Amino acid sequence: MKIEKIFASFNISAMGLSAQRKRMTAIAENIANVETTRTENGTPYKRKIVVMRASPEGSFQVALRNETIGLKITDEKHFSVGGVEFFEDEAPISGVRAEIVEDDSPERLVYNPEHPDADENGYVHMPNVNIIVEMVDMISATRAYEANVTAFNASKNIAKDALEI
Amino acid sequence: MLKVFLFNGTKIPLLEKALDAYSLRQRVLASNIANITTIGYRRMDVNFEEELRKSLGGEFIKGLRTDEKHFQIGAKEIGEVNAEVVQEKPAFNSDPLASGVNNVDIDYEMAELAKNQIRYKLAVKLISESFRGIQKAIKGGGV
Repeated sequence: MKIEKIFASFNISAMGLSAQRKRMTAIAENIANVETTRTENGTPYKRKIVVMRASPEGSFQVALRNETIGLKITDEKHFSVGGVEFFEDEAPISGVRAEIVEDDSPERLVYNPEHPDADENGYVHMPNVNIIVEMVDMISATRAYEANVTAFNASKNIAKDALEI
Repeated sequence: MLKVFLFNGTKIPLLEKALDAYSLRQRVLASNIANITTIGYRRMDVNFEEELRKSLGGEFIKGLRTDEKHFQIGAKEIGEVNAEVVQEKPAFNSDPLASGVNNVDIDYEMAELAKNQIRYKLAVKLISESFRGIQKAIKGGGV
């Protein structure tokens, strides 16, 4: 058993933690910019959403495997060619990656002719951020983060127990 | 030869398999929990206990192998039971979207995580006891 495998579950939980933290950052940004009517390029602020994707656990081995050519080892008598050895039947266990994208839903229109950013009809284009939706997302992100912390602690306990044999 | 003599009569080889299976399951559960908000993710599980039960129990026909070139018939030998990752197929009747976006049910995963930890602890205890037994047998029990 390779030592990498012991820490694989740590890596997966860490990826989960980092993904949920990224989601939290996006939510904080949305809440902070709930009234921002002008950004650097002149448009109102656009809500950021985080899309989660299952991806291979982010170890060095995986990155290396994707970059180099290697021949598959399907029998333990085979030689390893190309430096990276891996078995055909390796388990498809995945971690998670978070990607930030912009929400393209329409802007809120608020009638306020005195506002400097109002259009010719007196409407101000407000960001498409709904504060209640953000609050609910925030709670969900917190709970998901906690779940990953619990999983991480469980992996730590198992690794410690293994040292007691 | 000494290894065969010392360990094959004990439960150590079986417990080794169990430890491997539980640490694999830990990885799988970590992956399920990390993907709790991933849209379209399908939860995975480790198939070990079922295979082990098949090879231990008498209800399945098992071909006796007296030579290692023989083919495997029916259930596997205990030494050949290996834990494998299975991806859960969407069931017909159950709600496929337990968490709204995928079929990961966080309560179930947490319960499995707790169970897996205890199972691992138990296997570690049993394997340490077996080693202690062998040590006692070598040293002798007297003063």
